[in-house]
Amino acid sequence: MNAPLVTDQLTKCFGSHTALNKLTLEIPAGRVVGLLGRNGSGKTTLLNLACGLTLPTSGTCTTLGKLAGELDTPELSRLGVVFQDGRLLEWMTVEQQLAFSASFYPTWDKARERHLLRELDLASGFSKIAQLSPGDRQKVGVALAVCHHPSLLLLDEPMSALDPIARARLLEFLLDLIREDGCTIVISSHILADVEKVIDWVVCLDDGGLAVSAPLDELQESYAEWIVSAQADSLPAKFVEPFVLTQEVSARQARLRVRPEATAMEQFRTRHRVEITSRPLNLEELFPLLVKERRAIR
Amino acid sequence: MNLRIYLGILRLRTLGLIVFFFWFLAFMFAFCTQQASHREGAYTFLILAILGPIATGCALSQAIHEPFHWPMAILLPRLGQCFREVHIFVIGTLALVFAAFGHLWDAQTPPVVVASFAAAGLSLSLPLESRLLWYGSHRLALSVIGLIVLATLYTHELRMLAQTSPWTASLFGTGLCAMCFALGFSRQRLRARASQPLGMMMSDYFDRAALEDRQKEAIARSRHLGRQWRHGPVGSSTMAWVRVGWHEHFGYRRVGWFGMILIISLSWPVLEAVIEKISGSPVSIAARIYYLVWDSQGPRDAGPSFLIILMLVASISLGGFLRPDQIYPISRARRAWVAYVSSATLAVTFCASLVVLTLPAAWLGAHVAGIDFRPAGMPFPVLAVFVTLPVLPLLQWGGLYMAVRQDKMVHSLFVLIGFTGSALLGIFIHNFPKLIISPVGLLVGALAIAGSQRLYYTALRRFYCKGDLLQRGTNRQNFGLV
Repeated sequence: MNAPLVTDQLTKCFGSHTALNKLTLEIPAGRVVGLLGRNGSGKTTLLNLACGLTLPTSGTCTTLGKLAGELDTPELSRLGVVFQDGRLLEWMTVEQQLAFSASFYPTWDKARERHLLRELDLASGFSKIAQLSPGDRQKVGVALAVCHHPSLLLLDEPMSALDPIARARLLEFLLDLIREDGCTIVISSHILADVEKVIDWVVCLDDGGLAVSAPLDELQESYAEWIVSAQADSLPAKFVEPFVLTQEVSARQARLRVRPEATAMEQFRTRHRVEITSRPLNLEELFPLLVKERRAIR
Repeated sequence: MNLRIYLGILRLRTLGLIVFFFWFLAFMFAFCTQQASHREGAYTFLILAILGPIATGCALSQAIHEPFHWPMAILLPRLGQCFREVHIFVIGTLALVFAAFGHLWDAQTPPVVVASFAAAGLSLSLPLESRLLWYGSHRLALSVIGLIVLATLYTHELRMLAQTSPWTASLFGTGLCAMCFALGFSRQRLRARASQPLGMMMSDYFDRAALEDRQKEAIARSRHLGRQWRHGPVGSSTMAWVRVGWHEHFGYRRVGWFGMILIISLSWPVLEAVIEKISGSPVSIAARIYYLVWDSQGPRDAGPSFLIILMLVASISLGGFLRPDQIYPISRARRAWVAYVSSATLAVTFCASLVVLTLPAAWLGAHVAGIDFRPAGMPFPVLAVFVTLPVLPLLQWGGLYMAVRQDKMVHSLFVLIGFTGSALLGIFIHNFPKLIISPVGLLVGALAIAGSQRLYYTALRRFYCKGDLLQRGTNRQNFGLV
């Protein structure tokens, strides 16, 4: 299956500010991709470029096999987008907004629309968009993006205004979506604990460049947290091994975040005469390490 | 997209405006000008084939412009095609309505030409809604106005073309319409975002925040031009009131007589040229004004002339209504009284000038226009006074009520009442002299005057006392209070 989103040397500048800098990336098909990054790292810019809302300064962005700036009916019918600021037509009622968008998609699934509105506890369809809470606007945004069975779904902070229950339901729905449609989902979010439940691929951006693009499992296998306890002597003030990324050291115990090679743990244990308890890192713990590593390389 | 969704996008206000516009057209043509002795085909052609369609087209494209240039619209497949298909149907239907009106009132012009011109006019604003046109975005409204001026100037020629070569004219109209559609609904144009100037026509009126911003700007501007009150607190003596009255009327730097004369002398030849072009008649503006306000037996009928006088009254009333530029150390109740007296003085001055000055002014006008003076319009100033005194405070009260109640429905209702009232007055104007000279007419007139004045004063008092609570973003300074 072709990659639904491919960028090649993609650069986007806003005046003197470079939001994306020569980004080369390939989002694999059928994956749920977590697009991570600090504020201003270029996540929203990438999603805007991917759906053709903005055009690149240089480089190319290919979405569903076509340059993003030239997306036409066949591609747009397979693309769904949710934006964090709930870009909706304020004066319409929810019903009108849904009917308006539905009229452009022959594959619009009315049953899915009803199901989603019910599941997400969306207020009456006769409420005006302007009167909705930010959370309800996001729910409408999600409904607009998924009811035509897209094969690529771009979600930009879709859960930032949702309450925990709505977040959980949305995540469940996304999982259903993958099961039913097998679509590729790119989800940008700061709520990493939630995102982690659904994503299987991580793309981390930093300062407009790519920090990492890899399967989540692979990353979780690569990085770990070691709780190091001294067996006899006290621990050194600082561990100097290159795979140690962060460390909190006391006299008898240390907490290290590491990216070790296969044999590194054994060597470390022997060298420092310590006990090591290792556990995998969750996404929230992993993210700062990815950014730090990228910055160290630069 | 189907017609139901399209009509939903137009929203009630646009649909209401369009329906009202056609109703008003029918009303005016069918009743108000039925006694016109010199209805000119050029005016009918101008309204039905050019101005009416352009105005209606602006309302339509303004309504569909928002969803069409909605940031997410670019992601909707077949957006341009869907909009284009339904819009063609709507434009076609409206063009046929214009053509039907044209057939009724200007039988000399072939309906097919009116329809094609109307279709072009209706779609003219479509390409102007995006920035890709060669004009700068801020000049789009100007380009529409420029086109209207050109069309107005060459109405006579266009009508002649329509009559002599109907198929060429139709082809021209249809071609222009097709070009507008191609430009307006092209996919590339979706990237060009909202152009505010054209939308300003409607959205500024209905958009409360924009309206308030404009009010604040106007207040700031007038405050800049206004003179400062340099006296102490306002007492209750006659002298204090005289000072306040003086400040109220002369504490504001206006264009001045010299400026007015300069503006009129510069614009007069342009107006002469425009009117001559429209009508194809060499009757001068002075003569036209004379006939309009004085001699109803001349080449104009009294209905429209009376409406023009009413428009003048309305504009005076709106100009005089609530001028917040003067700041006094004065209580709210007294500020309300000052505002009331100020507008009442304006009305009385207007009426007095109508009664006292019309005869010499008409004589002078006839002399300037080079036509024979006839005292035909003598009853007219008296009628105007009888209408002005009760109508002016009602208009002011309406303006005040609309300012306080920022409600679209209230605004629409007032506009509807205003238009209908004006049209009804235009129809019954011929019966007014008989009504007014009767005892019942006098009594009703007196009661109407007293009632409307009382209504306005009470509303003013209430506004100044509670305005802070009712109107968002206002404060004591905006009411002219220190």
